[in-house]
Amino acid sequence: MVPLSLMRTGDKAVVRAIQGTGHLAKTLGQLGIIIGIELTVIQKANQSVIVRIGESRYALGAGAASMVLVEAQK
Amino acid sequence: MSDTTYPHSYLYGWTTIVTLATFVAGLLSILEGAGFITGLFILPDIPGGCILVLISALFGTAVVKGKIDRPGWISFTYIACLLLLVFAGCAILVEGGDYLTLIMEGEEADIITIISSAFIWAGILAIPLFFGVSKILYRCSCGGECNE
Amino acid sequence: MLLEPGQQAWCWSKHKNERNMNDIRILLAGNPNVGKTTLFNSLCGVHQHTGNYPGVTVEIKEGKRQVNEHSITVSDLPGTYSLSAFTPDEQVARDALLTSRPDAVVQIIDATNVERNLFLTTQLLEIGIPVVIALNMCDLADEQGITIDAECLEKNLKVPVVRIVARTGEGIEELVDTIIRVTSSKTPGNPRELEYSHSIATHVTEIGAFLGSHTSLPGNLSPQYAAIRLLEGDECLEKTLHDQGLVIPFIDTSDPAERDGIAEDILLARYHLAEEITTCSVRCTMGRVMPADLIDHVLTHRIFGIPIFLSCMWFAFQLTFSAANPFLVGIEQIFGYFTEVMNSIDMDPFVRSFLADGVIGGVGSVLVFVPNIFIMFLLLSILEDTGYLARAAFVMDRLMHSIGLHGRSFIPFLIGFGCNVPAIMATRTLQSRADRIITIITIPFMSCAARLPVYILFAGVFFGAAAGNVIFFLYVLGILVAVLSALIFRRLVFKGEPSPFIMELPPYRRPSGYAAALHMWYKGREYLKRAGIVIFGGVLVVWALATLPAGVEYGSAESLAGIIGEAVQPLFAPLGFNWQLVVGLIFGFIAKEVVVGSLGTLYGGEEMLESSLAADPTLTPVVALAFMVFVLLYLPCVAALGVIRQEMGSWRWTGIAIGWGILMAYIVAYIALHAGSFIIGA
Ligand SMILES: Nc1nc2c(ncn2[C@@H]2O[C@H](COP(=O)(O)OP(=O)(O)OP(=O)(O)O)[C@@H](O)[C@H]2O)c(=O)[nH]1
Ligand SMILES: [Mg+2]
Repeated sequence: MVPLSLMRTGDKAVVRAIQGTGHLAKTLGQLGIIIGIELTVIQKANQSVIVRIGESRYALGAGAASMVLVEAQK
Repeated sequence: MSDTTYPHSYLYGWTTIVTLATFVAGLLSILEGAGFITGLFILPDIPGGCILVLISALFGTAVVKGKIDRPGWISFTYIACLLLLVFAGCAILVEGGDYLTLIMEGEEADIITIISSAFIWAGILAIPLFFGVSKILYRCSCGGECNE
Repeated sequence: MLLEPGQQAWCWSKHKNERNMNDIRILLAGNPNVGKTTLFNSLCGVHQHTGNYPGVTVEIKEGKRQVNEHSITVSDLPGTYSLSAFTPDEQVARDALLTSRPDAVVQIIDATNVERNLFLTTQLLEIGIPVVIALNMCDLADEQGITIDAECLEKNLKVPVVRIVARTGEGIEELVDTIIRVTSSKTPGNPRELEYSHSIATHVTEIGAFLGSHTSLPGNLSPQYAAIRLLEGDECLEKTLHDQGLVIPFIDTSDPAERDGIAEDILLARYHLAEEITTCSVRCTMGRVMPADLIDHVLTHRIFGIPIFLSCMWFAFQLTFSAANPFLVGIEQIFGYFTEVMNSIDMDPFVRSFLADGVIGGVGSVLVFVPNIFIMFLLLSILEDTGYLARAAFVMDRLMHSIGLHGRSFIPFLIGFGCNVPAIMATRTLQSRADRIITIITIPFMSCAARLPVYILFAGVFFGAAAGNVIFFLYVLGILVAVLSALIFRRLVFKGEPSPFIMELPPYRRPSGYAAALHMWYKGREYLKRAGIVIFGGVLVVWALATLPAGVEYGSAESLAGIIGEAVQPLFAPLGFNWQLVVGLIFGFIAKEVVVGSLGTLYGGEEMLESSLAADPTLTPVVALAFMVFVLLYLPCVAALGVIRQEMGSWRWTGIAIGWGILMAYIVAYIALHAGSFIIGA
C-alpha cells in the first residue's frame, strides 16, 4: 500500500484506505474515491495527481493525494 | 496504417522539421526584437519569440517521446500544433487590428505586416501535421489502438 | 456565508408555504456541471451564466414558466455531489432541498456519467419529495457510444426519467409534462428505497422513533429521514437538536469510531445501489482511450503546464487591446463628429456645456472602451467553455499553495479580471473559511475590466508606444500585490496550510463561437446598461458640481468640484495628484469607469481629454503611473463592496479588506512615483 502521490503516470491502482476522517475524507467519499474502487493515474505533476475513475476525472493536490492509500495493479 | 493519408513515418519526420522551424522562427523573432539583426521578413517580437521556442520544445518532446511512446508523441504533437495554429490566428487578428487602426487614423501602414509574424510561417508548416495527428487522435479515441 | 458548516444559525430556516393550487414550485438539483443552468435557461427563457467547470452557479436563481393554467416556478441550485454540504454553495443547495418544500425536485443527470450521478439520486429519493430525473447531454452520450435504457432506469428507481438535451431544448416539453403529471398527484410516489444492513436499519428505526416522539424537527423533516441524516453525520442537524437539549440514543452515546463506521456503511450502500442500477441500464459499446487523457497529459504537464497557460494569457491580453483598437478609433471618430455637429448648431451655452462636457465628455469617454471590454468577455467565456480553466487551477495549485492560497482560488482570480463581483461570489466553492477570507481580500487586486479605460487613457497619453507594456505591467503588479497580501495574511493572521485541493475536471469541449458571442453580448449588454445608469449618473453629478455655483468658470478650482477636490487633495499631495484626479478617484468609488468619465467632464470633453491631459503641467508620466497604480489597488466599487460584506458575513472583515486595499494603493503608488522618477532621472 502506497500513497497515491507516489504513483506514476499511467498506473492503475485500487484504493485500499483513506486516511483521516475529517471533511476532506468525506469529500473524497462523495466523489466516489472509496475503498475498493479502481482508478487510473493520468497525470502526475510533482506530488499532485489527476486520476480517472470511470467517466470522471479528479485533480488531487499533494495533500489530498497523500491521504489516499492505493495498491498498484498490473 | 493504410487508411490515413499521412503515414506515421512521414508525420514523424515532419514533426522534426516543424520543431526546427518553430525554433528558428522563435529565435529570429527574439533576435530581431532585441535589435541584433534587422531587415528580415519577420516581425520583431520578444514575448512571441519565447512562446515559439516553448512550442518548439513541445514538438521536440514529441519527437523524443515518439521513439518509444506513440500516445505521448500524438498528444504532444497535437497540443503543440493546436497552440501554434490558435496563436497564429491570434497573431493575424492582432496585426490586423493594428493595421486597421493605423489606416483609420490616416497613417501609413504596410499590409504585409499582417502576415509577417513568425507564428504564421511556422503555423503554415504545422497545418498538415495538425490534420494528420488529429485523425490519429480521433482513431485512438474511437476504440482503435494508438500503437498500430 | 462564511460560517463553518455546523455553526449556522440560519441553516434550517423556515420557508413560506402558502401558495395557489396551480402554482408549481420545482428545484433543479444535480451534480456540478451537468447542465442545470443550461436547462434552467431553456425552461425559463433567460440567460444565466453557464460554463464548463464545476461551481459556476453559487446561489439560487428563480425563474418562471407558464404552461396552460400552470405557472411553474423554477429554482436553479448550485451543483452538489451529495447532501452533506461542506462548502457554502453546497449548503445553499442542501438548505433549499431540505427546507423549502418544493412540489418536485428535478435531478439533472449527466448521461455520460450516470453512476456517479446516481449517488446523489439515492439521497434525493429519501427526502420525501417527488423526484423527476432528467437525463441530460444525451447527444454526447450517443456520440460516445453510451446507450442508456431509460425504461430500465425508471423501473429500478421507480421515478419518471426523461431524456433531454438541455442545450438544444430537445425533450423539454416532455419534461414539463412529466413535472405537471407528477406534481398533480401530490404524493412522493413510491421511489426505490435503499436497503440498509440490519444493524443500520435498527438504528434508523430507534432514532426515528425517539425523534418522532420528542421534538418537532426543523424544515418538516420526517423522523426517519432525520435519523438517516444523523447517522450520516449531519453536524448541522445534530447541533440544532443539541441546542434543544436532546440526548439522542446512539448518536450521543456511542464512540466516534463506531459512528464513522456506520456513516461509511451507508456511503457504501449508496454506491452499491448506484452501481447495481448502472450495470443493468447503461451499456458502453466502445472500449476507449480517452482523447482527454492524451490532452491532459500535455496541458497539465509538470514543466510545460504553467508556460502554456502564460502564453495563452499573453495572447488573450494582446487580443483585448489590438483587435479592439480599430473599433475604439471608430467610436472616437463618431464622437468627434457629434462634437463638430454640435459646435455648428446654435444653442444655449448651458445646454451646449451639458451635452459636450457632460454627455459626450463623460459618458463618451467611457463608451469608447466598450470594444475592449466586449473582447475581454468573449475571451473569458471561451476560456470557461473549453474546460481548460479547471486544468489551469490544477497547474497553478502548487504555486498557489506556496503563497498560502487554495488552488481553486485561481478560478475566482481569473473571473476577477472580467468583474470582481462574480469572482467574490465564486469563493463559495472553497471549503475553509480562512481560504475564503484571504481570497476575498486579494480578489480586488485583480484588475477588472472597468479599470481598463483608466489605463488605456493614461498609458496612451503619457507612454505612447510603450502603452501596451505599461498596461501589462499594471496587471502583473496587481497580481504581485495579491500574492504579497496573501502571504502576509497567511503568515500573520491565518496560520497554517490552505486546505488540500480536490476538484473534478470537466470534459474538454470545443467552444462554440455562437455561444461565446451570445455570452459576450449578454455580459456586454449588462456593462452598457451600467454605463447608461451608474456611469451616466455619476458623470452628471460631476458635471453639475463643475458648473455650480452659477457664474464660475466651468471646471475651475472655484466650482464645487474644485472646492471638494482641493479640500481632499492635500491627502494625495505626496502622490502628486491634482484636484481633478482626486475628484475622479472619489467618484470612481461608484464604479471605476467613472474615474475616466469624471476626468472627461472636468477636462472638457472626450475630444479634448487626451490633449488637455497631456497639456496639464501638473501631470507627468510618473504621476500618471502613480495614479494608475492607485486606481488599480484602491477601493473596490460599491457593487463589489456589497458582495464582500455579504460573503464575509462580518463588517469587521469588510473593513479590513477596504482598509488593506487603500493602504496598499497608497504605499505602492508612492513607491511607483519615486521609483519612476528615479528611473527617468537616471
Ligand atoms: N453537448 C451538450 N452540452 C451541454 C448540454 N447541457 C449543458 N451542456 C454544457 O455543459 C456545461 C455545463 O453547463 P451548466 O449549465 O453551466 O452546468 P451546471 O449544472 O449549471 O453547473 P454548476 O452551476 O457548476 O453546478 C456547459 O458548457 C454547457 O454548454 C447538453 O445537453 N449537451
Ligand atoms: Mg449552474
